[in-house]
Amino acid sequence: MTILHNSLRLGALALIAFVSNTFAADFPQRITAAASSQKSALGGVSVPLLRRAPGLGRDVVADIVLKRFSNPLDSIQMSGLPVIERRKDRTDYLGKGWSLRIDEDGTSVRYRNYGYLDNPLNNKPLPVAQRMSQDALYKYGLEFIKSRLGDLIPLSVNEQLVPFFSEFQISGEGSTLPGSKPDAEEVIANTVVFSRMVNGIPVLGAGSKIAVIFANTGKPVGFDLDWARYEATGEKQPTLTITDVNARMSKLVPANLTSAQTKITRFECGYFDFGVRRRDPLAAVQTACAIHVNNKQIVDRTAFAKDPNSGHTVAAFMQAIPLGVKPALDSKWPEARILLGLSANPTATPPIDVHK
Amino acid sequence: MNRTAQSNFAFPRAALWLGFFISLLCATQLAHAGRFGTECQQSYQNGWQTTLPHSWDRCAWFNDELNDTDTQAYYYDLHGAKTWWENTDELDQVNLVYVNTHGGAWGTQSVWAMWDQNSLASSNAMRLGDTSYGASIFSTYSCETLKFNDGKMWDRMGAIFRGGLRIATGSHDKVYDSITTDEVGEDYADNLQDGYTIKYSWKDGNSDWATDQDITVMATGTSSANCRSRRDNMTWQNFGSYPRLRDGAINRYCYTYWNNL
Repeated sequence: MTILHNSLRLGALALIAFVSNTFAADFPQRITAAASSQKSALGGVSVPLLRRAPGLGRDVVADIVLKRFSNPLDSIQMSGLPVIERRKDRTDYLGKGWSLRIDEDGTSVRYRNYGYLDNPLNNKPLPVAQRMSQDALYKYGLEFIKSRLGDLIPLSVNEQLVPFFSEFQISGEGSTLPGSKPDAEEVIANTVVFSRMVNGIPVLGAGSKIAVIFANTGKPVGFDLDWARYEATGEKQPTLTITDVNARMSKLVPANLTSAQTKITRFECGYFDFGVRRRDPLAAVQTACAIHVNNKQIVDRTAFAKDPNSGHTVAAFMQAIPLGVKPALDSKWPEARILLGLSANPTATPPIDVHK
Repeated sequence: MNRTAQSNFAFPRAALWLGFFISLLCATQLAHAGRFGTECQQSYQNGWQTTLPHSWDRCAWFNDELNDTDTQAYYYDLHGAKTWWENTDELDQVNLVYVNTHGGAWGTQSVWAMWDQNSLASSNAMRLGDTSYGASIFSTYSCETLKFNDGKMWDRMGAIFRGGLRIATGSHDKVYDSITTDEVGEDYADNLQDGYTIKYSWKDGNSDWATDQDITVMATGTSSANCRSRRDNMTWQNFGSYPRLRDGAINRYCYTYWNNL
């Protein structure tokens, strides 16, 4: 019954328009990989399963990072005596204007110097058109990674560091007088995000990501990395064809994929690494198609008919659909558990219902 | 999550002691018992809105984190909540309101979906900040409610701010329900506790580089500089030091957002 139902949906799914196959802020490597995913997923081939190797540990990484960025005159600096909060799963260092967080095994680091970024003596807002270009972000980002983070970013011979997308911090404002138009917006910060390809397959999810945040001057003011060394488990996982992915998608995505108001804005297949904080430490890194879906839920048809931007709410989902014909067990991944015939993870206790 | 302050890397002993005392001093400065309330919904009456599978985790983990340091006044679902949002002081009983439900930006109102079929709380019917404790921070993990690109942000959110609300955090477009975003409430609370500005607490709490999150923060001011200062410097620890601005005292609104361009 389910299979028949899904088969009937396939025709409709094929008609779903991808809102954009080219995202202005995506780098060409991501655009190319996404186009290939939309056409054939990973081509139905068998893909080696990976595991995240343990990192150096938070204390060793802290020692490296704190010494490396000790110059108080740099825009990324960890000088002074920070407040140190050591928790079960991570350590936080809270300095004057800066902060550093290192997760337990040392494969994930977050640094911010918002004190520097928000000081107008260091960083002047610019018209949005003067934001850093993709080329400049790539160049500055790569230079920072190579010169300052190099030994924290292990890469095997079959792996590539690739630029993934950019993001910008923009500010705007306006008068509250009736009929006033907003002022021109200004860019405050420019971010570039890098990812990894393993044997030409992109790694999706929060893992295998490096983000570097730049002030408008090109000075780095923050970075994130979630980057473990990958090892092959020795197992290979056969992957679905694109037709089978569509069928699986219609079963697992909460939104109604056949609705005319549903849009898929991203469809990307590759390895899916949840990142150090969200993963099942015993699970392999396996393949998935990561899908961004949104749906306009029309509430007031009259208002919607007059103005398609009105009369509705918006539902947005990012689903990681396991791509393995038989997914490997991952206790933290509800979709993998469902496909293996297990119950989805229980959710937290619902709130109190007092309004009835 | 309980915290302890201790060193884990090799500083000289004197520096360690100095660090310890500075830590104690700063910890004392950050000590702050604010009141917060949380209102969330996962599924909706007769399925009139799509289920948000990760809503309970997102909200419960926000509570679990923030109630380590602050006072949780309530945690409600959205059954029959429209009246309570619009006609009572429920949201004003706390300093910070955290919400997860579907949202939308209509012509001149922002709307939040309640559990009840076809029931939406409307920004035009809400005025926060001038009853009971008076809400100061309104944080909604909902799509579109801080939309600005049609020039109608103030038309939609003005009524809420005119009561003296200090800052709103949300999205101008889309925030995603996903296994990768179930911890965003916890991370937001965590950042607030650490003394980050509210602006960056919201941004860093909701970013994971895996989803296309569209993050927005909005404030008001008597002037452009005043608005920017409130938006950029307010923290969970110091928000009370920023005077409430009500009605005619509000001359400017300002916002910051992050997304792809």
